[in-house]
Amino acid sequence: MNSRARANRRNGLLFCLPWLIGLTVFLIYPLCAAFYYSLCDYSVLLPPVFIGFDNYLDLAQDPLFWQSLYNTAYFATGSVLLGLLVSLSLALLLNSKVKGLGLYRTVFFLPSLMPVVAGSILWMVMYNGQSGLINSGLRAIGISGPAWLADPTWAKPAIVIMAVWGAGNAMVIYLAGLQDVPSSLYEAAIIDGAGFFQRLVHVTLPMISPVIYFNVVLSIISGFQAFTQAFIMTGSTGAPERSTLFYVLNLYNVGFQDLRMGYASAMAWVLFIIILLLTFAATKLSQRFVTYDR
Amino acid sequence: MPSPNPLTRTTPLIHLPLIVLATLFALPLLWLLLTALQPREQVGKIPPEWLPRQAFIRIAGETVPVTPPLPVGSDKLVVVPNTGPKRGKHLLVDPADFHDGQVKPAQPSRRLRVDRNQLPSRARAVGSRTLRDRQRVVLVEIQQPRSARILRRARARSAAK
Repeated sequence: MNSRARANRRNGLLFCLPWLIGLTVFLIYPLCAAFYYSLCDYSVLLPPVFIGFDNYLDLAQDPLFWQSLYNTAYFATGSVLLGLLVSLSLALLLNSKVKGLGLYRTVFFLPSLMPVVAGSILWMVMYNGQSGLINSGLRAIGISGPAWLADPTWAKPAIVIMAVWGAGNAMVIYLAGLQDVPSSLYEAAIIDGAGFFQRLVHVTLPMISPVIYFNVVLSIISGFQAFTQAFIMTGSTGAPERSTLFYVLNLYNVGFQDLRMGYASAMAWVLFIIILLLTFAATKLSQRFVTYDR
Repeated sequence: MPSPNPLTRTTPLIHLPLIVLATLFALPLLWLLLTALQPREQVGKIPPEWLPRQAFIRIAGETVPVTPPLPVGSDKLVVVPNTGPKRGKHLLVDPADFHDGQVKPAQPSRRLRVDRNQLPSRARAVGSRTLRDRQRVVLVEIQQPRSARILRRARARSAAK
């Protein structure tokens, strides 16, 4: 029996091994290595030189760091809030037996299937100030649109709008949450005389609050890691006037163009801490708003 | 029986926001699809065009798509060389650039170039002759474009012949 238990444990470990190796080699080791390099002056070409916390101290003095952090926070806030609004509204509209439901759901979900690079190029062409589809449409109704990606004040909102276009993913998750709300709650609410908005605020939203929490945390994380859109649409410099220099884009430039891997590793760790704190804050906040009662 | 869940009960009014939003979501994809079908000179025109249109010329009942830099109404030669790298291809040439059975541009800048803001055009053959070595030369006049659908039909017709 004892030898059997030992064999079982050995077999179990063997089955886990592929995953364990992956975790250590591709996650834990890089994390630790990045932290070590963040304490070094490391240019890839020469061996790393230990310099203590100098990289972190330099970060606090770096205007580009603060600019990119602001840009990213702007984008993350905009895309999280607008994305929440749009995807939740779509899910509420589609949580019904309206005619052509399948068509509507397909149309709203389709954009989120588009690869980010392809979508970025599509929107880049559409955002063109002269020949772009968007400004042509605005011109047709008498508005002269901004230069979008070439205009420092409009470049970030433009990328937020593009992110909202891909809200279909979150919409599907909200839809699943909405369909899980027991109809007995609505019956009870109606008997109590609750109107549409009362039902929405007191029944629907509390019941899908775990789903909202899940989506918000995921979109905060992906918002802070935004890179591809800016890299494709406005080039790695974050033009115009560094208004689309996102945090990860800045990190990429520092690491792979300036070859300051130590500094880039420090940036990566700072971003990791920021996302960790935000997720923690969201979780703390969720304890007041999220209900798991069924 | 109507659904007990009042949020799933609907009025036809719900179509209004849905149609508006669905249009906004679908337009970029539709535009992407239609642009992908457009010839190069039609892409990026101001104002944008939705339906793909292919300029073409007709040579002896045969339909040949062209990418024209051409002002509408001007005369061009269509030359079909039977030797060299452009063998069998329909070249659109300024009549002044065609000497001794060969395309020799008088100035390099007079070669065919794509002018994106020029109308895609269709051309009508106004005369043709065959040179030695069975090199075909047709004088054409450039006309307004037609939709790709008409072009496809014409192509199918000439293929059936």
